[in-house]
Amino acid sequence: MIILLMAAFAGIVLFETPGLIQKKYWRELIVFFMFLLLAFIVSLLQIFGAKVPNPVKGITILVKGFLSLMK
Amino acid sequence: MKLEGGKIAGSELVFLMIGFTLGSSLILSPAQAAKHDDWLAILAGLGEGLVFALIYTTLAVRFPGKTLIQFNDIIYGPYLGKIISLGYLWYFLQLGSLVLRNFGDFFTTIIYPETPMIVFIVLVALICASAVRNGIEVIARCSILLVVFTFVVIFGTAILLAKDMKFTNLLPVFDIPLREFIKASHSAATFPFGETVAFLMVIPFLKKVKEAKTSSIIALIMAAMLLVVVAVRDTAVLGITKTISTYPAYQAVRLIDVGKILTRLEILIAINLLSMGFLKIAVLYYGAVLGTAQLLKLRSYLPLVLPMGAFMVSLSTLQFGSNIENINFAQEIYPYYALPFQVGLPLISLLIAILRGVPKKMKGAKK
Amino acid sequence: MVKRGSLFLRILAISLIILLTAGCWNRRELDTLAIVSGTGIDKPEEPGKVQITVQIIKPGEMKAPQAGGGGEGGSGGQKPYWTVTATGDTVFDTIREMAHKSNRKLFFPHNEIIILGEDAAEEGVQKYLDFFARDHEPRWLAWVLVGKNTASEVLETKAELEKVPAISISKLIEARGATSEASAVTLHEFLTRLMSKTTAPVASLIEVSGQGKEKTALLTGTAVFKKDKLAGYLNKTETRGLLWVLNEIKSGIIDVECPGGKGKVSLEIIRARSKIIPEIKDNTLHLAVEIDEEGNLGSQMCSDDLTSESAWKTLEKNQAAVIHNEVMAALKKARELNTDIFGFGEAVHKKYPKLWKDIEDKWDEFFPNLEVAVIVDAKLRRSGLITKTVKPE
Repeated sequence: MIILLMAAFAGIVLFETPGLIQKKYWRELIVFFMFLLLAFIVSLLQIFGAKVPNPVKGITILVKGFLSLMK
Repeated sequence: MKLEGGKIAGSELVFLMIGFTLGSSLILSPAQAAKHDDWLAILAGLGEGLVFALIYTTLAVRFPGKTLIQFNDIIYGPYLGKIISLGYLWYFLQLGSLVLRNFGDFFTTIIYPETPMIVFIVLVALICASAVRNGIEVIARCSILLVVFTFVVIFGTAILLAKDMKFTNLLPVFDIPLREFIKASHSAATFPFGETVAFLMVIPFLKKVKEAKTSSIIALIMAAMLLVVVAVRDTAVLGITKTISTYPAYQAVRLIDVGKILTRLEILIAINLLSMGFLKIAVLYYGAVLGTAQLLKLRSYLPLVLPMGAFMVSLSTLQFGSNIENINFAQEIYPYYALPFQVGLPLISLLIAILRGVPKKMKGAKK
Repeated sequence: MVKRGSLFLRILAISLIILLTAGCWNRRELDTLAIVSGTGIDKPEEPGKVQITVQIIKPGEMKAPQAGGGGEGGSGGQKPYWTVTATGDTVFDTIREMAHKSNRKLFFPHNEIIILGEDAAEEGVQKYLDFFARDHEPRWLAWVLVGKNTASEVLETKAELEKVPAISISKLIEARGATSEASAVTLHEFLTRLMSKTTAPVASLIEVSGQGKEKTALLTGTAVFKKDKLAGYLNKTETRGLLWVLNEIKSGIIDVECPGGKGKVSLEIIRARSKIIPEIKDNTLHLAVEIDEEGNLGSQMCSDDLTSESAWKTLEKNQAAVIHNEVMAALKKARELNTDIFGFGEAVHKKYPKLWKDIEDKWDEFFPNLEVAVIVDAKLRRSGLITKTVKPE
């Protein structure tokens, strides 16, 4: 599974970076790697079964808190 | 510096918006909480949704050629504007991941329980990624074909189910307490109608920006009519069992049996979901990617497509442990969570724009 | 334009994903499946357990025509089906348990009948049917039956015209229209009634007759449930009475006395329509059941001349009386069992939603004393290929 994940992300890197480097789009390259790293970390943590903070849980707490304030 | 060179026609916007609005609401019937009155709740939700659409299109016409991300900067200034834009980008991305998750849940529930959900999600995400890379013009063109096909399926299945329909299932009309009805119709307004706020990333590429208002209203009304047809079809066929069905449309079409020959057509519903959900994810995905590129002032949005897609995929599997969690979130939390993005912020933006007289002042200054 | 090409690519990609995902993660070929044609649910001796019987089709044996009158000698050709029984704690658990007996995984999409054994039905069926409603394989179009013996006995009967008993039973139900004396209830209808607060579920009743190897299954009426528990049975006449009210009469024969009184006349039902009309008169709730029927003269066993206007009218009147009696018989039984099999409660709910809120919870007290007027309008349309009967002038 981890190998599959690595392969997928390596594939994305190979697909995008040559063109970016050729065009000297350095700013785009940095953003590209930032997002890719974020996605990679979240995926990797999920595969390892680590507890990734779940945004839905956060939203639920926020909304519920807000609704109880309204009452 | 233009990130998107494509232009779409008003008619293409209509189809794209119908497809987007149908999206996953074709299988997860909106306002299911209203039981057999859900068609009424959808119509009431449409009323609310049309008000939303008027706000969006007024904004879009006021800032022609500017996306949500761009005019946020103008309205709120560069700092606050960026924070609000960031909120929207998150909303688009998360909504996209929710729809991806619906795909995964649907296919693993009905056809391939043993297949890991991630397989479907990745496949769908890849198709959407390739659509987004091709730009809005291609997505809009696809929508015509896909929406027409869906239209045919909806009416075709309704005709095949005609003999199984009991319209008395719709009686008595308005059988639920007003409070619950309003809750259900509001939930229909936020899912799917209000989600068209994502079109603030698409309307700027309309050939004639004046057409935005009529196109949006036509699209929302037609989408609502189709959803009403689906809701009435399902209630007339399933009766009370609709209220416990996870996917009413699928369950109803499963009951098609015309002379033992025309039967087992439920795959049509899967294809409907696949095509309409594709349009919905593609628009949200496109909005998130284009918006990020505009926010960070990149020269091209293409390099962002795959990393953001990967993030969306991992988000979709992370969010819910089970489809029950997904349903509870959609019914209890989402209608409130979506409010600031769908009504609050657009309304405030419009008011500020009118009060400050932007962007007319800007134009004047330029002269 | 380049973009046109990529539109084509999109369509191609979508078609591809549809075609490719249609291939399974775990490939299942026909010869690795055990296709279930019928399921029976019984309550075994051991408390808290469930006994499931499934009838699996053997596709290989289906093809070969049985030589010489079909293996009557007993040892001849193999049966084209296999009936397996297993016992377990839950329905799903038991079905999976069968993998120990059959080397293939059971495959339910072609399951045509669900038979509930009498004991199991008396105990309550919600717990048994949940699996069939929830799982993605079984179809909601399967027929629901109650076996007056055990369900496994019913599945072990002999089928003469069909190769597989379960399919034979399913065809038996589909052919009910000839007499309209057996109810036909799909799982979907059963679940709908089960979920209704007042309408009582019904199911076809099937019995085993004959002995030894010659056992056959036959439909003998309707099983009536109170909530999800078996409450009683309707016989054939009462069943037709029920079907009149439910507007499910297809055809059938009505026997009436000759106007002269020397023999019987058979009238064939050609079409029938019915309506349940709730009404509030003088502050009390009444129900009217309106039945419109059209029939043909099918045969006469007396020598009277039935073509006279008065005789014809008498026949029509007698016909209406028979229908009326059948409905009353069903009504009487339903009142005895206190089960609203006709859906009167739902009809009231639809017409008087406000009133319904008050009586909904008291419906069990209302129903047995409910005034029901049965209004039958029976017509006799045609006399067949002859007018007067065959006799010397």
